[in-house]
Amino acid sequence: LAEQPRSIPAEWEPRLASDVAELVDAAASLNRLVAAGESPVDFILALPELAPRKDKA
Amino acid sequence: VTLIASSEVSARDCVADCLRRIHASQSTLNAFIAIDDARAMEHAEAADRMRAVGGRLGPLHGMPIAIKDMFDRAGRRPGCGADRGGGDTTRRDATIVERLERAGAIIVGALHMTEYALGLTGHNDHLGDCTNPWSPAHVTGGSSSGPAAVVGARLLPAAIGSDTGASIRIPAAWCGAVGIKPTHGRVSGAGAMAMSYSLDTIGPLASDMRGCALMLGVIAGADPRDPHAAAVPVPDYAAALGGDLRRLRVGVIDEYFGDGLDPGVEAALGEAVRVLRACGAAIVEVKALHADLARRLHRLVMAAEAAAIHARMLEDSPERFTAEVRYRLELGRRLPAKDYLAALRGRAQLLREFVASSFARADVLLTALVPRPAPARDRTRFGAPGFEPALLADIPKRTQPFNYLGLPALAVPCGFVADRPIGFQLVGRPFDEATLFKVGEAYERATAWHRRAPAH
Repeated sequence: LAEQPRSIPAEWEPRLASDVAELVDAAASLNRLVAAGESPVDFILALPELAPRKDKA
Repeated sequence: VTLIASSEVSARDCVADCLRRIHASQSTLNAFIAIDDARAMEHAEAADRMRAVGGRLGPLHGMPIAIKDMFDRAGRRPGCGADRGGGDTTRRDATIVERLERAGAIIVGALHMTEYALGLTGHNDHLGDCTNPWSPAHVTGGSSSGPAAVVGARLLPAAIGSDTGASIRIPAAWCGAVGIKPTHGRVSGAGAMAMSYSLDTIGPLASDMRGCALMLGVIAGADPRDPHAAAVPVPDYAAALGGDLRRLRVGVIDEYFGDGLDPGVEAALGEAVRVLRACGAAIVEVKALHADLARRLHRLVMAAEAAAIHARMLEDSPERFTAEVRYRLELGRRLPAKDYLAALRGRAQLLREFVASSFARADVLLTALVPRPAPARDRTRFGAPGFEPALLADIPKRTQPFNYLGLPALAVPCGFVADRPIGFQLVGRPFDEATLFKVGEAYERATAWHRRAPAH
């Protein structure tokens, strides 16, 4: 395994900038779609609520 | 398992035969990082003694399996496919290891994986590549490269992998194995390497649906060691297999999620739909709401969390990461915290809307999984001469949305293109892995893809 350089190769920068912009834009799109006030925990709670009835205790 | 339990075959002979074939395969497949001959034989002999005295046999009694090299085992330190340097060994097995051994499985070793599970091809510059059992010049897929290779090569009936964006399903499809990414929280992550806390799942790969169902039934369920492991009852997946698919609706999602498919893959998907209809299923068309947004949000969450998990090493000794992994971590380091949190805060609403729209008309969804068979290893090595990024760019777009949405997804082998395996994907409602297995097993019974084995 060839040792990798410590610094970021300069040729990565345009692609990194483009990828960051795409993902930041995704978050902005989501913010336009969703209601305010939910916490990340709501996702964990939503999963069992959306399970088919037969799997509920 | 049936033959061992009924004394027709001893666990000792079965495990010894597997170990012999595993050792013979290493020079070509390179699927194992560690092979535990002595421990496996000791456990096999104990399994035979247990059967001889009429002891209670677990559902996996005497079954040889292996695990991706990212799970704690007492007294050992998993390598995680990386240059981790020195460090302490752990005192306790991962929960999945405890459950598998309690069920009678015999773990014969630790399996190859992509560096820190961050990659889709199965390349590994630290360990050497694991090769596709159907064609050594082609990739296995990753990051569960070793689990897919040993099951696809028919060296073992089952193995354990992990899936954060595609890492069970893509290698399963490219190596000719069944594999399931369970619902988020279905399987405990205690003692498993973390790659992305919000997206990681652990699941089995197996040579057929029944084996995959048995394995998931053993490892699934709540765990006091992992608060994210959900307290949702675990059905007997294997017992529910069989029968036809009348009263079941299979939703074909947006023409299979199909743009960019190889014509051979597209034809196989059409044939799979025909087979499922012949099994009694009603076929309906379904739109995948927010799927592309979910894919991009998946990338955001994964990159941010992976960068946080590896932040210290990225700061202190970045040269120990290979270029592909370093790129992914560097991307995560540059993402704003407010956007990462937005991606997590909107997740519940996107899930509710997706389930309401897609599962109103269907019990399971069918999508394409891999757009083409496994690509050549020398054209997919990050940054190397001959690297063709386009070959990989669209690979995970059919899998990542379901990690973000937390839904279960099953890889089903469905034929060959250019003599290399392909598969399709079934997606279910939260915690409805049972219906995925039922549909997959009906398809499997009506076809014979899972019975094929590569030439050795």
